[in-house]
Amino acid sequence: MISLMTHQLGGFDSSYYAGLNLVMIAVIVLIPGGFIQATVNALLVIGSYLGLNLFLPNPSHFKIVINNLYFLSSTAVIAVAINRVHFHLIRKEFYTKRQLAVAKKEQDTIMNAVNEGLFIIHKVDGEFYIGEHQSESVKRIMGESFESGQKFTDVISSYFSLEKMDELGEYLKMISSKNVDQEMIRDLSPLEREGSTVDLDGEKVDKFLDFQFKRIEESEENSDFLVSIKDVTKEVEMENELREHKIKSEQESQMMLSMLHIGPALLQDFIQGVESELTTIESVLREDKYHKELNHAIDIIFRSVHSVKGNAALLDLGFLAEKAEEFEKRMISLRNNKNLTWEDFLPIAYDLAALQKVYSEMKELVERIRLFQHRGADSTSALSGLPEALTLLAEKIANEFGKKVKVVITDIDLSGISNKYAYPLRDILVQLTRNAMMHGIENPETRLKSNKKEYGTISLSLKLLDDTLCIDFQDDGKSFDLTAIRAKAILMGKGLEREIKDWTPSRLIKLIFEPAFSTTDESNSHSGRGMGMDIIQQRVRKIGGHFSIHYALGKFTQFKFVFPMGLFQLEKV
Amino acid sequence: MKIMIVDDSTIVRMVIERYLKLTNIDVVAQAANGNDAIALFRTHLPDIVTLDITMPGIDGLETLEEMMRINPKVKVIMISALNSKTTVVKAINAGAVSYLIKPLLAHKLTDTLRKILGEKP
Repeated sequence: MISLMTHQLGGFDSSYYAGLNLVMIAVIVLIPGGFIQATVNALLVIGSYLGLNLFLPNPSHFKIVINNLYFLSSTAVIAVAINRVHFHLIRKEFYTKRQLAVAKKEQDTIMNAVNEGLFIIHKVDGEFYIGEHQSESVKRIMGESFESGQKFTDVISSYFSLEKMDELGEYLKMISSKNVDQEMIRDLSPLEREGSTVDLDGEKVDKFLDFQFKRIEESEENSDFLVSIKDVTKEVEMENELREHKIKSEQESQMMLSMLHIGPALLQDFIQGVESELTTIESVLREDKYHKELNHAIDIIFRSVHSVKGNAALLDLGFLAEKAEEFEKRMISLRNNKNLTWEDFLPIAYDLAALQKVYSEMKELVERIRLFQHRGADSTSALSGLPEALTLLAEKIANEFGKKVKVVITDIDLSGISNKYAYPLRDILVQLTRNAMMHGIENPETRLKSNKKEYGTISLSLKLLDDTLCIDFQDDGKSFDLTAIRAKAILMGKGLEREIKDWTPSRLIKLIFEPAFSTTDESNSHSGRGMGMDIIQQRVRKIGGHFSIHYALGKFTQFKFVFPMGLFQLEKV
Repeated sequence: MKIMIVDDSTIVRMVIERYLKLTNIDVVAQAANGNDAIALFRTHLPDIVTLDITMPGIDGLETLEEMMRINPKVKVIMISALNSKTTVVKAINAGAVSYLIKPLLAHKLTDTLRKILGEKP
């Protein structure tokens, strides 16, 4: 048609020139297709014009044909060029749209899939406004979607107390500050494990929520923060349940304590003991001489903490035992550290301070108890109540570990022993009882198989003979596990393996009195961490006595102690 | 660099001091409570203060505010128990530069001091 029009109307020479131009451009541009299609179209137009002139009866003048060819080709070039650009634009737009759609879909997928409620808040003129997008979980967790553009604090205020909102205000102020290290303040969100009530489709549900804020744009005045909300109800409830359980068992312990009638003297003695251990630890931290031998210092601290822990467990003072246990755990990790430096002692100071605090609270309590139940003669010996306490300790461990035990205490005469020595003596007896229960006495099944009585027996006698105090402690358990001791000795590199294999039982048994030697790997408030037997040795030395061990493998273990009488006060009450 | 330690536990102060001595930082003053801390702060004008949040008498936060009034450039590190987050936020807003959770670990204290002194770890 264009060719015909060009031919009929005169083309370049005619007044329709501009119109024709446009028609041609329009045709080539609008016909869909790419560069090649447009070129073919243009060539077709030029070709058919030439054809018309060759075959029609009235061909144009040669000069006009040339002119028109010139005009047609230049217009064709322009049109093809426009077509090409146009085509590219269309294609680009198409791709951009598609990419956007993919991105949007991905974003939606993420926003729908994440468990956290996610959205952005923008800070404008000191106020925080909720952003455009948010994850599905916002509605799932909070029971409603947060409307974009609303003030964040307004929306949140219906969920939390005024006090919390104040804290949140302080917090938002802090995170907006440019000078604050974002890493440092990460854990300070005031809305962490915070209780709240949300409305889920008309049903009020109590929840625990975690709000975390992360700054995503750096500018003091206008900054953006990513807010993530987590529903931590399950975790918190589980923890609370555990805690309640613990509180309940602690209350039981307290009841047990009062039922026990721990004599005020015993408590007083315990308090004195703890005080002396705490003083020991403090002096280790304080005095320079210990800082040259850090491992030695750790051993001393460990022994003291261990003793506090043991005695606290004996009296069922759970809270103190727990603190001591934490302390002891730190000492364990330090003891395993071969390259100790003084820096490692820093946390010990805090553990000690914590222990001191509990101790002073307890001391006060004991003072009050003493004032309240002053009972005269009974309170003069620090060891009164010890037989009962030892029996109870043995039974408690038996209960915990499925064992059965009878404690037989005979000839016990504690009245002549001064308080100064009572505490080391009690340490020894507590440790022996614990050791017998943990390592000696077998469980009933094993005992029956070995033709023993189902019940294990611990017997203790404590006699004053002329100028000597004799203590005899015996249990009918399996006695020393020489195989385990040997294995541990090899493991700890106490000697060459082939030599250790030939070591005599008595040489092996001596090892258990070395610091840090234990054949039981697990530790709890009853068993030691290898410090137990060491304590016995220490305490015996401290009050200037000596002891011997008699045993028959599989049958019994007996400890015999002898303390010269001069050490003890003889004034009987 | 002058540093001051404020903590109600004698043993904690002593151990921090010993530790800082090892890292060649001089402890110019120690205080067991807020009142002493402020008095000593005025006389010694330390550059850095480690400040326990929970103390008998006037507490860590008030002490901090008073110190900031005396010398707004002082770098105060709050020493806090795990459960006093709210107070930490208040302290940072009041001008504390950092905080540490008890029990203090030596390397954390070192890191914090380095950060404050602008050293690279």
